[in-house]
Amino acid sequence: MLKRKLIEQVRRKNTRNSRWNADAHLRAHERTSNIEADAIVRVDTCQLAANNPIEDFYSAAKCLSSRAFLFGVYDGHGGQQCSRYISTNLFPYICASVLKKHEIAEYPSAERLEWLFSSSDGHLPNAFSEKHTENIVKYHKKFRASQELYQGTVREALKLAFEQCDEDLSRNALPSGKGIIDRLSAMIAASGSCTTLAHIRARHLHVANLGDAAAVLGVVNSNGSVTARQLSRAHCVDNADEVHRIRTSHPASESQTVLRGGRLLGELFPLRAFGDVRYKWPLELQKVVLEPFGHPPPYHLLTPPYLSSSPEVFYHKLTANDKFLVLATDGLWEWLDPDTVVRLVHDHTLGTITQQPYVPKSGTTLNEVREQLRDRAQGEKKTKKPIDENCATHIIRHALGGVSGGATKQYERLIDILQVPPGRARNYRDDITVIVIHFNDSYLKKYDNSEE
Amino acid sequence: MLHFQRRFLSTKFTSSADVVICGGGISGTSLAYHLAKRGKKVCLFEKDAVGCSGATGLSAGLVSAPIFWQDVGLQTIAQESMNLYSEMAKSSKFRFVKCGRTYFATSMTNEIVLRRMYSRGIVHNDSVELIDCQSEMLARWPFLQTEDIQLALYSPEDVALDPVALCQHLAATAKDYGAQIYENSTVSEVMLGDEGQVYGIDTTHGFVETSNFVDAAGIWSGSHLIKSLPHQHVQTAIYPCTYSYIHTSKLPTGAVIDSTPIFNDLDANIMLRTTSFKTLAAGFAEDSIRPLARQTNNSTTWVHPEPDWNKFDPNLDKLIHRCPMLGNVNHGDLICGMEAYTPDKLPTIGESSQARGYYMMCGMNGQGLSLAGGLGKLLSEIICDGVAKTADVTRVDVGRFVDLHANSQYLIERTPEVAAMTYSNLYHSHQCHTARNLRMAPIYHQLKDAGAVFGEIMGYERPLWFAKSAQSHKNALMRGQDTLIGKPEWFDRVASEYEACRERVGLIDMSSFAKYDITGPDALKFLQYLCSANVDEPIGTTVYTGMQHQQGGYVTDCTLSRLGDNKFFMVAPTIQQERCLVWMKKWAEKLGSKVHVQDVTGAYTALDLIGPSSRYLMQDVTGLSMTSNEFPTFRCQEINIGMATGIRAISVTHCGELGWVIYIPNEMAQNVYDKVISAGQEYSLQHAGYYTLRQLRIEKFYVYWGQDINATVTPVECGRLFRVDFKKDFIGKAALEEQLERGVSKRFVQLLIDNHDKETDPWPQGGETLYRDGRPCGLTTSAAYGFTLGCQVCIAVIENKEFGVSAEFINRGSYELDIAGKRFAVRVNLHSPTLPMISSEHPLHYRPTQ
Repeated sequence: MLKRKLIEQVRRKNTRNSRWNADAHLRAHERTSNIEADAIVRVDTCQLAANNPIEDFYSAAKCLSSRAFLFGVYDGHGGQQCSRYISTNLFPYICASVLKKHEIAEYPSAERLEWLFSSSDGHLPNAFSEKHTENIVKYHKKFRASQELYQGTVREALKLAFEQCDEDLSRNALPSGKGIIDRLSAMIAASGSCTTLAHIRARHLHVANLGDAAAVLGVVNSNGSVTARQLSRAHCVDNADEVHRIRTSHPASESQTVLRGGRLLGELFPLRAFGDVRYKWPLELQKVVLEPFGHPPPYHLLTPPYLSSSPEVFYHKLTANDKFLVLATDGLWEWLDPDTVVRLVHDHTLGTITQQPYVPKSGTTLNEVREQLRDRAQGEKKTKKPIDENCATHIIRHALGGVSGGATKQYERLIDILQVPPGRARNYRDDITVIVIHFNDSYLKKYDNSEE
Repeated sequence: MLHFQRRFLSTKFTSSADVVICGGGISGTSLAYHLAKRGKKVCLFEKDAVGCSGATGLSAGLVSAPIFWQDVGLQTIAQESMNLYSEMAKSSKFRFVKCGRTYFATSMTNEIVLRRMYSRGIVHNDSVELIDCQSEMLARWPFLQTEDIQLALYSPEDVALDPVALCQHLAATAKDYGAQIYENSTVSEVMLGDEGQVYGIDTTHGFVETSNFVDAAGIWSGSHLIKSLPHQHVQTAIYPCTYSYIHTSKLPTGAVIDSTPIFNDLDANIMLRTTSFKTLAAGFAEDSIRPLARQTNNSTTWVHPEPDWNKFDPNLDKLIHRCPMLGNVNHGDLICGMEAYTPDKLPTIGESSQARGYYMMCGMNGQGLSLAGGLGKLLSEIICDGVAKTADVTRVDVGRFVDLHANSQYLIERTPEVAAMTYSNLYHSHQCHTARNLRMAPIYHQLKDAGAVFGEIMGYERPLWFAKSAQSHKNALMRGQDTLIGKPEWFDRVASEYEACRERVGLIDMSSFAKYDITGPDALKFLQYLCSANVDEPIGTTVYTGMQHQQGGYVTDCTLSRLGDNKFFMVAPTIQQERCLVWMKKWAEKLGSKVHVQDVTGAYTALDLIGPSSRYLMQDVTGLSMTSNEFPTFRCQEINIGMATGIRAISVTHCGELGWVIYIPNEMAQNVYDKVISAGQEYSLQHAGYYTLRQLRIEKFYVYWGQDINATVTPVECGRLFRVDFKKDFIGKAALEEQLERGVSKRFVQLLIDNHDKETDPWPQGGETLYRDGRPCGLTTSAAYGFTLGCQVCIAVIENKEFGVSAEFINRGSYELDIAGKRFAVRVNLHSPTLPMISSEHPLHYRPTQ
């Protein structure tokens, strides 16, 4: 009897400990950033590694010359170097490609970027960064020189920025005048990165996507129902348009080899990406630059490039019904579908607001106060209060722990899956990165009817 | 020695005063003014600055006109306040705007509330307006949504003033009369002498010798250290609760000006005050009110409780509904204030029974400004003359509370409900739904099973009437069931109970009545001096008597049963439980009488057996002969019922019917009850409730203490001279004799209302104006339906200060009663009409009020 009691006690203690461990593990890399500017109120991020080291990165910054906010998630493959490089080096290109009509303040191209946060360190070797700055300045000059681009559209500008970024990335890996190959640059070029980037200027949202990460907009209709609106399409073999694009851009003779087993040349899953020069460079160049580092070219490399670095850009004008945007790498989407994610975020928002006392933000009218109080009351009704304050953590918890079943069941699954150490965990799941951007209702409402 | 030295060193000064007041809010300054004006040497200590801290400093400065109150005493108090403030406003330049107030009603009940208010208003000569046209309301106040409003009442006399400046001006005026005001000075201890008498106050400014201390400390009331009391401070029935309002910018409309009235929506329980520079929007939903922690230390500073928007939400909805424009203004500040509330929404003044010379003036229930001016006057009269003359203090007296009312848990439950009723008028029959089921008779569950619907009085659950089947919910009665209009739900049931009491036998639980054992060698001598009737009757006699104060008014009425040479059993109205005891103990001490007064209210269960068959029922259960010779009325005897002993049977039913009240020791109550019920089956015994008692007594023109008569009424005025024995000496004798000589200008009459349709007309409640030849001449004090007379019956008091109220004067006039704006012709009876007694045996003592 006593023994059983003791076992019970130990078990309970263990349960408590392991729950605590699971929570700590999930929350280790969470971050909440209160932006409170223009359309954005708050950004929640969280990341969970499966690879060792992690190959996912994220970053957020503000472009000072157009007052646009930039958020990106980068899902690396074949090493972390490329995604890490992109996470810090893509934004300067975008900042350098601000359209004339959007330029609010004149900043030199190198000082336009204000970092908000990033999961990588953001530092590059000195020689590297000099070269990088040089590249940016060059690009900026080119961009401004072209009337077509400078007075064009954000969509075109984003595309160009992506392409230029990728071009510079691969050029860095080429042998210098003295025939020296920079090892790090070569590693960056050899690995690859999918990217989903959100560009939010006032109430204009552009999502540029490259690869299989995705962006989903949470729309809450006035009757309280929530719908998910996908703002990106995965560039993989499931996407018929992509398959068509690839097949038509290569000779018919390659139709057997260009896509095999659902993969590009039978190897690469995403059909667009940064880096991955093995699918972009001609065979000869690869033999010189990559083979020495142990990256043999793929088979059937007949008509490179096979891989595009031109993003697909979606535009959406934010309305007061748009409550949040979720950017996440494919690690998340293989567990949850967009609808579930959006519902989770919405419930979380309703649930968490009831956890702190309500204080109206300055400038809200009593009508708005009343509405917000009503929303809270609804959250109050849902007995299930979220365990995590951070919305992104909340999503990951439900991704791995499951949406159904009680807290106990969820913890059981979580503890199970989290006890696999990073590295080995890659066999069970991918790195997961989630960014949730919460929009400001009253801002969006105010400009709902205005043109700009 | 060391202690003495420290005291000596820390003393900055030593002075003396007639009265020391703690608290410089509206209560304290008003009292200081009144006392100083009467020549008392007053010291006032305020721990912050006068008027600035506490509830006064945070208040919106709104003063309600007297017509708001249903109770006559409160009307007088409010009128006194208004008079005082307007006088002050004349001599100083503080903000004093007669903006008026508009009340809205969207339900029938509140429509009647407004019509009653209007009836009171026209007597006060206010230019009160009733508006029943929605488009007129909209035209006058275009920023409101008036579609669902059934009736609006505009009361022009309501005032918005600057409370801080008012307090400061009151204090300054008091200073001119010689009062001393100390700011930034805390009362640190109240010192009691050996006999529980206040002798001095220690303050941070020094020691003040005084025999009168007034606790006007608002939410800190009762927190002053008194080392010699068991709890180290005086126990009070007040408790701090929050109240919240939004303070925001002006409404975006030109229609709001400084003289825009205050708006009160009675059904939504919200208040809106809009001026040309700000808007105050308050709501009193019960859920939005939080009880706070009791202040135990008077040196704590005022800390605003955290405002809670979530809790304010229900109010906000209603506010925006009433004033849609409010939704478009900035959210402003939600201000959460603290205020001291009492269990019955009435303020507390008077001397505490726990320490002599310790007076209370607190528990303003959010209406401090409206009442404090008049209450200050009343309390100054109590302190100077021993009794208040301006108005009846019964309902605001500290003596209305017993220990249970001071219990924190009780107050935590009750006060939010009270605070929610800040702007609703409580009628006599109002029942709170919180803090119920505290005191219960041992037969409570039997009564409940029999269908009892309970009402709470002094924490005691008393059956009001009996429904056909048992009531399942915990609080069998949530709200007062006396409807303002139309036939109440209980009517048919009470009719049947009434019939049982008149023709067969009814059983009423009267356990709530206050009961005392008075013993000791001087008991007879003592009671002879306190009571106005002769109580020196043979053992076994019961005497109905009043206890008068020096001015002749009723301290209480009671029945005294003589159980032995020096042993009396006294039964008094329920609400007198504490007051009677304090009065008797005070006089026993003053007279040096060797008498012991024991409160035995909780020791006995009282069953009132009423009706012609009660005699036979009593014979059956006691085995004794109960004939009118053996056990006539107004007798008492200790009897046995079955196995139970020590039962006191008194042949007085308190309603003029034949019958007995049996006082059963609690431990045997269930046994006796079962016995009586089973024996009663033969006589078709029926349970009856308090409502039946009320209908029975009103037809017989029995005036009840607390409803009809009170301390401002003398036996001469209420026609009870035949109960007064002028051959002996008693308290108040001189005053009564003088009054007899001079004649009185007040007289109680019974009103029979003609042409009243009980289904559709508003029902009288007491407090209605009686018109004689078209001119107001008096007020009703209580009302009930007379089942035998077949009409509404009221007891009213007619006053004529010029010519007196002779029978001739009364009979000459033609009378109308104004109930909620509707005039009814009434017949006025000076004596009770002869009731047709179908089978009833006429009790011998029956003698209606002269």
